[in-house]
Amino acid sequence: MRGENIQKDISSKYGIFLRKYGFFYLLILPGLIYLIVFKYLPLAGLTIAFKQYQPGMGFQGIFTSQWVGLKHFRKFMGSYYFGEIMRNTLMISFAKLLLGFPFPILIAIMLNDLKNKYFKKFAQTVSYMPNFMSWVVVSGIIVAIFSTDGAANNVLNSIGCPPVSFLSQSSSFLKIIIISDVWKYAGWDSIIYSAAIMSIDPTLYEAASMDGAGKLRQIWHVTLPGISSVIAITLILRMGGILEAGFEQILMLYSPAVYDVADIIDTYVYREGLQMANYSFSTAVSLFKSVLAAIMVLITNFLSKKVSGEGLW
Amino acid sequence: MKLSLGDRVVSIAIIIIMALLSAAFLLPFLLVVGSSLLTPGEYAARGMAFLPRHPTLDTYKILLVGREIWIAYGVSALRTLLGTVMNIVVSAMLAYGISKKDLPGRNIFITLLFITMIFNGGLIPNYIIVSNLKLTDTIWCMLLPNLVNVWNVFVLRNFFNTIPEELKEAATIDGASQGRIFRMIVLPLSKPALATISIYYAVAHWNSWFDAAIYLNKRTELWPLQLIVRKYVQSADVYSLQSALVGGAQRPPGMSVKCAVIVLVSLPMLLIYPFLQKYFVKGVIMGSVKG
Repeated sequence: MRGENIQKDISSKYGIFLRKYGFFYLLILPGLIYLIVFKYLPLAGLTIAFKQYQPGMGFQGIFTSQWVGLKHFRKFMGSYYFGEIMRNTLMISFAKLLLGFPFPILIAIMLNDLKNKYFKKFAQTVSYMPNFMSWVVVSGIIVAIFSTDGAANNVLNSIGCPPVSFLSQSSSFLKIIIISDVWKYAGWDSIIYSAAIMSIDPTLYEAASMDGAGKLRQIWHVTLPGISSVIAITLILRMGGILEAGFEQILMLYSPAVYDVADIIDTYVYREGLQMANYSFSTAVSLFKSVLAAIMVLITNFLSKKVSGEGLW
Repeated sequence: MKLSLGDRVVSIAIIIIMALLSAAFLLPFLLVVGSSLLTPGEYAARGMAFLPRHPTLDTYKILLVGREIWIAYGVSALRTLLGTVMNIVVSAMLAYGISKKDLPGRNIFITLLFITMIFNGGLIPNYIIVSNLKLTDTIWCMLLPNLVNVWNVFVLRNFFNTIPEELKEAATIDGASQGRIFRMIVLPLSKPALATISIYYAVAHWNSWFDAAIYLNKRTELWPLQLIVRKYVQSADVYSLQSALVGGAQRPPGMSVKCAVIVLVSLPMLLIYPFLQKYFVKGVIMGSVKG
């Protein structure tokens, strides 16, 4: 008799549990399966950076291939290309940061000052558009302008100058990469600053102007401090991504002629991994980059907290 | 409040700068549109142009007379439609599941999600998984590996959390099952958030090309339009491509062809975008509120 009751208790407890939470677990299930298969399995696959995995080894190869420790990392760091690739990655990233970080802020400040709402809406819309074009499209536009039969060379031709191969010359290539990156993202990136500006207390502006501050001073003393926390957090996030130098963009536009300035970690990983099938080596390079990036985020967050009290967590 | 002279100068300067910037954002694209309408004669004489004197649709005709562009349009549209539906369904389910505050193990799930935002396997491990699952050279390689974007899930979850518990409790008292509550109360109330996130997913699908590039090696008929555009843009001579461009006696300039495919792939986005702009902007703000 007693046993029966206990049985009933247990199964009804399960029943209650299922009835209460079963639906939610069911909802989570597809997403969970996706996470395991497409996010965590590849994370496990990262281990091939320490092994000798060959194409064709399949899933099991991730676990059964031979352990070689830090061999691939040593090979990368000792290789002829290491210095060049690291330098290119950092230089391109920093250049994009230097030029691209202030621009959205300036755009947001300027948009905020526009009084005519039609012009303001127009300027906003037009500035967001490049963000929604893929790098295939933007590269196409760049080719239309800068290739040897593009618009820029048309102009040069019409004034009697010889054609310039903008996309095959390292210095001009770099400038094109950096400027087009800013062009694509500046408008979209300004949204977050525009939102922050709108949340600044208007009485602060009134007080400033009563103290005799003109527009520019008001921007310096009211607007900028008012959005400083957004600026700080955005900067930290960008520093964390400092090793992402723009893979899709560079992959679309680069060529061996400009490898010396344009080859970044990701393009090297792509060529070594998918084209030369050096799976383990390429994974090691990619893991190297991820670890460095994580360290960057930690350092930048720490420094930012020290300097301004703002941090990601 | 009267503006001082200095302030008025600043205001005018700002207007001029914003006008110049707006031109900078617009003109490159207008150049591409204009150049896609060039006749061979005008191209030989003037090169690229914003406003051809004798515009022609010949370039578009030769591109659209064959099947390549249409098939690629179809693939892109199918991928975007099917992909977005799959994205939003799984994401909303996941978001609602983890939004239940007293769900046992909830924090574990959230941590698992969060970790994937920071760490990922990288190019080769992902490639190994996808190819060993035999997804390459099928449409699924474009739909499954990117099924869920964790950031979007968190945005949806935050939104679901704003729906008052009382509404759901009242429905439970009235005898509604959890499923009904989800379908008839939560989802309809979440339309703005669902719409915004769906649009994000859709744009990402339409603009995707790299996944197709590495996973669709043999079956090029499955290439989304972006990859076709890439093929044209990166070729030295568009008429040497295997796409059987029907050239007549007067073949449109190669550069015009490149410009035309760029316009073709951008057209849907350009037409729809102005209507959806407010959703995009709202989404950024929703996503930036730390939750």
